[in-house]
Amino acid sequence: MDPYKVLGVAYDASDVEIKSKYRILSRKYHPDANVGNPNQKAYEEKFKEVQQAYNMIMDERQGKNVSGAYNYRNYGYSTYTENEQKTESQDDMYLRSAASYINNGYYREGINVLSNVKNRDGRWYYLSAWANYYIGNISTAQEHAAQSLKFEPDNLLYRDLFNDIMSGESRYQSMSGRYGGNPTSMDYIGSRVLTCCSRALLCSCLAAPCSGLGMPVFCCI
Amino acid sequence: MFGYVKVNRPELKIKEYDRYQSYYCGLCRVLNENFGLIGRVTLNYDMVFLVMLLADLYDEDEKAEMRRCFIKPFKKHEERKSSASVYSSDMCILLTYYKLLDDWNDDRSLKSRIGMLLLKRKVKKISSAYEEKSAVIKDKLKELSALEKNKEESPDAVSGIFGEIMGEVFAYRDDEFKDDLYKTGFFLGKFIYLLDAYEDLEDDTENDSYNPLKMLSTEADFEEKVMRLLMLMISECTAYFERLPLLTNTEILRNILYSGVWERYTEKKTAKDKKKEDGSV
Repeated sequence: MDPYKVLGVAYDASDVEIKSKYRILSRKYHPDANVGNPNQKAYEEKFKEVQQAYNMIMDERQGKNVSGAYNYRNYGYSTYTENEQKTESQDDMYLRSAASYINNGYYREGINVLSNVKNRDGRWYYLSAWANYYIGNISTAQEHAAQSLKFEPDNLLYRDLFNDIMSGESRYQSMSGRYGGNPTSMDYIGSRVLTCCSRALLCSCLAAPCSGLGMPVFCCI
Repeated sequence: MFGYVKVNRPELKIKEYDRYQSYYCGLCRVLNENFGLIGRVTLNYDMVFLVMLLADLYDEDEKAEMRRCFIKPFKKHEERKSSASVYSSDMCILLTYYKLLDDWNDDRSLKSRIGMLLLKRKVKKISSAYEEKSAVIKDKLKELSALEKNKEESPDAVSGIFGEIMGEVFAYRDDEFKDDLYKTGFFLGKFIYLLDAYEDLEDDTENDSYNPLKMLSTEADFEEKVMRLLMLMISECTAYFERLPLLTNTEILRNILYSGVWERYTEKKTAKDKKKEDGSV
């Protein structure tokens, strides 16, 4: 499907335009809003379609694979041949089993299996990074993705995963500057630059009892 | 564990700051109406963030009124309320109560016990409406306590439990926004937990108390590593936040997530640097 056509927006529509259109259509076709409506069934389908289209556009704009699957989901553990299986070590068997779990979305089971592996190489770190990423252990995922590259610096799959995990930060940094920055920004001063007295002049203290006359009572608390 | 999700005030437009205040005051008002004076004490910035997020997304029945209150008796101010503020006020109570319960179980502090007793009836009132959520918050706090007692070394694992609590709180309804709301809350929760740990590290080291960053603190370039860790968490949080189709409060919420959340980190870091400077003079 062409998600842009479904939402009725231009391909270069801004994020705000897309979100706005999505809200309007979502509201129109929402199941709760159409109970008893003769078009109810058709609207339900349309609602799902609108959801899908929005998610596709968001995925695409965030740099994710539009089909919804990251490339590394098809990592070649499925390409083990008969021969390789015959000479498989204990560790290889664990790795294959873990890969199978992780490929199918059973991340914790995959991690459990991985814990049995004695000799941890690039493949181990790659699988561990992938599984940990999906259960939200992104710090561990980042460390392990970096480790996997130490073993095989030219491995494109490992590189892709590492870049994916790190990509959030560059997006964050480019937005951060527009809102005052963060401690890693050059001209970040934070909001505590105001002294007690100058804050009093702006008043509207939130957490402190303030009389509203511009004369804070316990402003510094 | 609360009060980290703040605005970067100088960077907000005055009208934006006023709008932020109206949600804050609205939440305070709802807490007072539903839970009295005790309820007001549970008010915190993190839940104001949640109100603004949900109020934008759900855009239902929001009303703004000009009112006076005993904190600001001379000038009327705007208070914004909606079903999102009712939900967030309930969450204020639940989170505070279970946190106190947890503190009581950990160190039997009289303060926690008193707080708990004061909130008990109010919690009962709302628990039936949030059976599943209450159960998750309670269980996850227990799990967190257990990990802390066992001195869990992985910052990911232990902050993840708190993340699950926040995720549960953020996932207002079982609908098309649930997933992205959950993940926004989850990673924000991890950020908050680790920032709290960073603030408490010195004291915890002195008192030989548990701190998930103790292992990391023994490494060289610890400050750099902590910054990277926090940055990772908040970046992931904003990735999911940006997927939500927000329209009215976006700029204020972005001010918070992209800048304001670092305020307490900066305070702590500045204090540490000053101490070092003074110490070496």
